[in-house]
Amino acid sequence: MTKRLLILLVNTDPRNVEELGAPFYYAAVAAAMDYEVDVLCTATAGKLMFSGVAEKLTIKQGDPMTVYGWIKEAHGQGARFWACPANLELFDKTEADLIPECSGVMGAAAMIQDVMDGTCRILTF
Amino acid sequence: MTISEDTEFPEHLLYDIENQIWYEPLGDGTIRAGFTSWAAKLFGEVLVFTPKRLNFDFEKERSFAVVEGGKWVGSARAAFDGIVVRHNERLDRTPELLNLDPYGEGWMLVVRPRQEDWRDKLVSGASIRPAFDAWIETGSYKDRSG
Repeated sequence: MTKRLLILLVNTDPRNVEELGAPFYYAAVAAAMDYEVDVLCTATAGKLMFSGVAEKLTIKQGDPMTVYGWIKEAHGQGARFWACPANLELFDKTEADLIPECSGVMGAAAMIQDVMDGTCRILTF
Repeated sequence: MTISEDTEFPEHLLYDIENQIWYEPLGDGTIRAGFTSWAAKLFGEVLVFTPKRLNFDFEKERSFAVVEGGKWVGSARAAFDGIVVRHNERLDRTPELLNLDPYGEGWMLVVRPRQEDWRDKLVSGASIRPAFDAWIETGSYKDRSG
């Protein structure tokens, strides 16, 4: 049985901040349970991997916990974060624009291969 | 009772200071484990407690339970290799016992260690406070203020 979980953010993005807690919370919990966790942010969710974006977003109005705080929580538990290379192109960004918690870019082929080979389970948000 | 920074460390227990978990030998080869009151204060309100399944074979420094507070997540990491033999089922419905009575009704698991040297990482008696103070000095514990 695989111990690796891939969390894919493709429909949950900064346009609906309220939804952004769940994927990072699940990432934090899974990592705390000692599963190997990779979080890939793509499409509009890819913006969350750019410096200065997630730290301006709060999930609950009036609550000081930001989306970036959740990313740090999950990262602190051991989750790895990845940006999509096509996403960098889409938003005219480079790897230098990524937050420190982001390990770099994960290509679509690498992700699809892991899913099809059964080396990971996937949760999509 | 040893008190350090307003935290109680009952001296009949053994402590993994780094992971803030206490252990109590039960006399039949099994050991009861729980979070210290210091960890409970750091966590704040616990909403969910999820132990590893019964008979789960855990390794030293790996998770054998997870606590969730809604805005944070905490992992209970083992001080030795072993097997989960019992859960505190009361925590399923009343996880707040982890905060209210961390050394009593808020115990987490009963485990059976794999090796006889399971005490190697643990401190007890007069060693507890210096070990705790030294660990606090390092600042290596995680700030969960978000």
